[in-house]
Amino acid sequence: MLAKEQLDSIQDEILEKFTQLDLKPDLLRGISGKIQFTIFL
Amino acid sequence: MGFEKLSDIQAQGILPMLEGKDLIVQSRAGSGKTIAFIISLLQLIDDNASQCQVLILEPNRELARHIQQLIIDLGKYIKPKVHTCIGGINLKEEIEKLQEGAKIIVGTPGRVHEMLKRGHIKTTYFKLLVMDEADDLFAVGFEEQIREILKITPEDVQITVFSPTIPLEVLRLTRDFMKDPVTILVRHEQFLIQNTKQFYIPLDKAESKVDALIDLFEHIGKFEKRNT
Repeated sequence: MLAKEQLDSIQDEILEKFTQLDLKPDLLRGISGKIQFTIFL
Repeated sequence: MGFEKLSDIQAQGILPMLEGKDLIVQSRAGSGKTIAFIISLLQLIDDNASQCQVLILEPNRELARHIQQLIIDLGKYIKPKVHTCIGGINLKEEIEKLQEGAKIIVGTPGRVHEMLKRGHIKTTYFKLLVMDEADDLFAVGFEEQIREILKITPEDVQITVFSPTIPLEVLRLTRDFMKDPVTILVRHEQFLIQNTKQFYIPLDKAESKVDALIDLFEHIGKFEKRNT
């Protein structure tokens, strides 16, 4: 569950910054779909 | 393409663009500057108008196509009509495509200048002009066409320059055509540190690594599905 919480928190952090810019809702949806993660083993 | 964390360029570059200010961004590849100007232009365009509002100049056809694809990806739900205006395409075909209308034109300076001169690209509704990879635009000899394009462009159009380096010719051009531009410079070392968000998952024993990894991948899989 810790991984899920961490990933959710990062996603929220990124989207929050874009939300503050008052972007068009459809643009925010487009941005949200492009958030990606890299896992280092 | 994606976001691991909002980069400095994205955080600092989007706001002045949205405020309509002329902007010079100097930063190396991978800093997020392309995403910054694409988000800004998608925000700035009037979704209800069909006329061309944004012109992006790229140094070569491949980059122009790449940028077009990024705009389509990020604008998935806005669905702006984007046209690449590049050399190597039949002129008649080009003109027909332009007549169909495009809100955003991404092109190389030679072909864009030609279409502007012939009146196939109208500048009346231009809001924003982006010169991407400006040092390369000048290195490949587009200075004359760029100056001509800028002369044709209405004075109230917002002009932005994105480039890893700002050579003298680019600087001269910014002085000739831009109005009190905001300048953003991001050093590479600064970018590497600030643009990576890292976290770790503490485990009680080494054997749990595989389970934790499976958990992580499963969640990312769900996360990606949710966002597409």
